[in-house]
Amino acid sequence: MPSATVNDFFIALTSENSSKENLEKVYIGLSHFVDVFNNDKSIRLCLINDIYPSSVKNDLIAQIVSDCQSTRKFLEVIIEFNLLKSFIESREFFLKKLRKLLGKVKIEVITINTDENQKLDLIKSNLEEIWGKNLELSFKEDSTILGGIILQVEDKYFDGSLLGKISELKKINLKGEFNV
Amino acid sequence: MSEEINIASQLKFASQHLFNLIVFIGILYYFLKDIVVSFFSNRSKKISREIQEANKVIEASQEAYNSSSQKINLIDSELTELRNSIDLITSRKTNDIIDNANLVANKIKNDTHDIIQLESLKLQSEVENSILNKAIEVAQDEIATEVTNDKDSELIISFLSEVKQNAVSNS
Repeated sequence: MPSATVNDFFIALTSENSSKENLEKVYIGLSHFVDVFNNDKSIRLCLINDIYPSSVKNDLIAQIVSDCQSTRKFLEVIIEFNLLKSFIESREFFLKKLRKLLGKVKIEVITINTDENQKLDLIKSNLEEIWGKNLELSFKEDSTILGGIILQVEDKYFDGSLLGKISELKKINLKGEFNV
Repeated sequence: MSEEINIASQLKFASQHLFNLIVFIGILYYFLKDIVVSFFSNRSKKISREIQEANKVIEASQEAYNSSSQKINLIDSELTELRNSIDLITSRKTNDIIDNANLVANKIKNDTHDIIQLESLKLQSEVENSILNKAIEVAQDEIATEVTNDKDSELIISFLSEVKQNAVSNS
């Protein structure tokens, strides 16, 4: 007998909340849930482990996703149908799907210094020129890249760091030929 | 004259004794002839029989000797054949072993030559890599000290304009 999949519930969730504001709320709720899930080990263990009853998991979800009723309902249903593991394994896929529905692009920017607001604004304006205004930007500091910038735009990776350029030099031998 | 009487008496005495001796011999001959003859005849027969038996034994021994001699000759020739065959096989085997040893030695020699060449190439590339890595490390240190905020901004703008161009050309 065919049973419902996470995707079925996800389609139901997105069609039920078809307005942009509602979808935004669902997205915020789900991404908050995913953030908490990724960062809090005890919550992760509780939600994944089958020894905890659904009621405990539902209480946890209610605490995490208190602002959005639809997202909470969605998560409760997938727990009821024992599909939480499947959702968690594909969480990035569903968030990406929601971002696509919202016309949002997630970009993670890695620079050597995130204290310079002027530089961050410059980067932001340039990125908006390329991918539009609807961006979900996050900045991360990493001094090992030496300089420049690394962009993770959804699934695409753009390396404009000095470390990346230096790493390319490692492919060249002493005679200046590319190593096979 | 007395001398003549003495001689005659002596001759008489001698002839009497000679007669007695002849009679005694005749009596002995008469009574002992058959016994002595049969004794010697039996002895002669016995000796003859013993000689025959000895001859038979000698013949049998000769036959046995001949047979053994033939067998010994046969064994000897077989041994010679075996020795020759063993020598031949040993020689062939020795040659085979020597050939194999030469082949293996040549193979090992060639392999060793190849390994030495590969290892030297590997070492050369390792040395080159370590030189490159050191050079890159030095370059990294140099760059790290030389990168200022302005230079970093320039790099970022130049890279973003590259990304923009790529995005435009892809769309």
